[in-house]
Amino acid sequence: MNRNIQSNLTAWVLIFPFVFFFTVFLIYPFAYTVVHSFTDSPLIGWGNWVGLENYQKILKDKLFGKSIYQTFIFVVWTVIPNTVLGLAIAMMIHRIQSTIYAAIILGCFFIPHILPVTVVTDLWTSMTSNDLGIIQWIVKMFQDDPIPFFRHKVWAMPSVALITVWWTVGFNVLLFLAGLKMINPEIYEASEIDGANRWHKFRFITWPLIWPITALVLTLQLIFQLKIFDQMFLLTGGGPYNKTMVVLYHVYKQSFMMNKGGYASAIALLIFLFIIFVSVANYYMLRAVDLDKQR
Amino acid sequence: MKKIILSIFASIILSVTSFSAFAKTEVIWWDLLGGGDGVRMSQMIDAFEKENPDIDIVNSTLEWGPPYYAKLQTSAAIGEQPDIAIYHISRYQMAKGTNIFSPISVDELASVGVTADQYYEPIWNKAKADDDGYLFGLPLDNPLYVMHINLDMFEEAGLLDENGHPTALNGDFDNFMAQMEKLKAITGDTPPISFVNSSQYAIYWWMLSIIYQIGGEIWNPDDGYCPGDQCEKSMQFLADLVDKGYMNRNADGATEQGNFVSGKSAIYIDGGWNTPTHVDLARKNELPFKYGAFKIPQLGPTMAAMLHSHTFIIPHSDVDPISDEKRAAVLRIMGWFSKNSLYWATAGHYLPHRPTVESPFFQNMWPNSGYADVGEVGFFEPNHPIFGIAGPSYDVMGNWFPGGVNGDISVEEAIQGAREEMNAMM
Repeated sequence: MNRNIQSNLTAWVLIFPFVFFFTVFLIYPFAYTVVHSFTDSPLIGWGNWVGLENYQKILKDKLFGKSIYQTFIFVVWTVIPNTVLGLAIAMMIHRIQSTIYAAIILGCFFIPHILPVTVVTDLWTSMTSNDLGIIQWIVKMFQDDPIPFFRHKVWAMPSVALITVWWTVGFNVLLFLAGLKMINPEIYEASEIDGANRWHKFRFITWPLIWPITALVLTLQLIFQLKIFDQMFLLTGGGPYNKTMVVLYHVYKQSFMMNKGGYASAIALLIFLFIIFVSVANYYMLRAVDLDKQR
Repeated sequence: MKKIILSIFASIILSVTSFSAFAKTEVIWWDLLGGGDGVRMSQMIDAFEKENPDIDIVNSTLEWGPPYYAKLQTSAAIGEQPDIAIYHISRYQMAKGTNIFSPISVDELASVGVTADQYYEPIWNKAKADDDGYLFGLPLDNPLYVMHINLDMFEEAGLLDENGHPTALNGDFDNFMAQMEKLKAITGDTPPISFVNSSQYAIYWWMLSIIYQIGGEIWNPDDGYCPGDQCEKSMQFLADLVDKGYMNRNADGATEQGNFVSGKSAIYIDGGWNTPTHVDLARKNELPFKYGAFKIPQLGPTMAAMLHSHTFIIPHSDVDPISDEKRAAVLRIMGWFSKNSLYWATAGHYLPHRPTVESPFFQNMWPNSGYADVGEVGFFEPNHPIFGIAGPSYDVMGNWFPGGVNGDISVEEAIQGAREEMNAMM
């Protein structure tokens, strides 16, 4: 009995730091946001209870609808390319025999991932600047005027997506590479004896065995990209013509610019629930595909 | 023994009183003056401290724009606000609901020698918190857009009057275009006008002045944002300047100022706060031309130039309000800066302090004398919470204006897009 109490006490002591920080920095702000979403509070402080008014307002908010759509467009532009590219690069590195060369190439793809977002956006802003940008030098081979990539109605969203893929693909490469290294080489050798070519090996060995990693990468990417804010804030400001107005930028605008803390909380809460739903649904969908394959 | 105890007691009393005589009141100061004007401000703070050794100003310059104002608000929420802060007057209506201001009474200001009659009426009224004798803050200056010009090129094109002023540009859009053609013949491959038309700030500051010059307004309670067609006309004028090659397309700041200071372009339309940079270059003989700064051109029946104002405020916090001692020190700072704002004019700003503006020194100060009478034609944005620098209106304009001016979308689409979005927010 005494031993049980001691063991329980030890467990509580060990999990206390986590429970404390989790409560203070997640549960409390979350509860605060929930309550705020039913008030007309400003950015700081409490407001009056307005019931479901904020949620009713969201339904009529055209910019909210547009921001949801833009967020999905961004997800489409980034999640699949990021996963496909990550896998392709990982397979390329995996084939390199020399450990040093493999490490150098992996480092090249991974370095952008460790850069802070401000450095990444500054870098690309310089590279696309009208006079000194190396990318404009290429543009000028085809036309007289430079392209204002982050202020252009066609180019803004793809440009931010491209930068995001460049910035984050290294992490996916690392995950895929770990997955590829776990595949027993003997399976490939056996398939070669049976006459399998490269495509067969990828289609029937690599792809099914690496599927759990792919599912993980897709789910993580989905969560990351649905939360897109930094790049839009730093590169486009949600413009031009709201074409890069993503949902978290809309939350920022409502809270920090319009001083509508309650309304912004309602949007943030909806997005939070939506991300949980999409992530769980995505994970189970991918798992179902995996189970199908095993049958 | 008694004597010894008494002498020890006396020495303690003496040391405590002498310590308090030299104790300094520390005042935390936040501003957002990151340009050439920030250097001037630091010099003024040093000068103040020299004259007022009992006050120690601990100043910090923070990132300009929305981050500054967000930080000010959040710091006040936890009682970590500065004791004095620079705040744009155009944001007063937007921010008054946030409880960030600790209004200053006219009696408090009078105690440090600042009175309403020393200030131009429109700006004093704009700073008022109510009609009961309280101000949100005390105006320090009036930043405005001016026309920095290459006098040599203007002389060559025959565009200077007998006073050496570029009045030939005044009149209407057609006249202005005709004069640009003359300047373009001189500037060659470089457009005659340097203007940062990739920025909604630059576009709006010039465009709004043009709207008022041609008889329009930016908002009224009955018709909403951009009533009439003056918004379209003024943006079309800017778009035409781009199309005709009088201005670079999607021009950025560094390139445009670079073109001007290197003597490639004839005009640089931008903030007066660039004046000190140009003056310093001229003094070092690093400007390859004779420099002048003037009011923006008059392109309609009436002259108008949009003004802003940096003001001093005392940030309010429910958690930890400013102490009486610090408030008294802050008021002394305001009084000193008000009386000594002449040096601040060298930062390129116009001033709201009437005795300083009317002084012969200010009226003849080079090159500011080129726009020393702008107070008579200056105007502020309307008193509506949606307006205010670095606020939601600028976000909307950033969305629509650069595209309209640079031909990414039509001028009508740009104005209509901004109109719909602004009216929806109002």
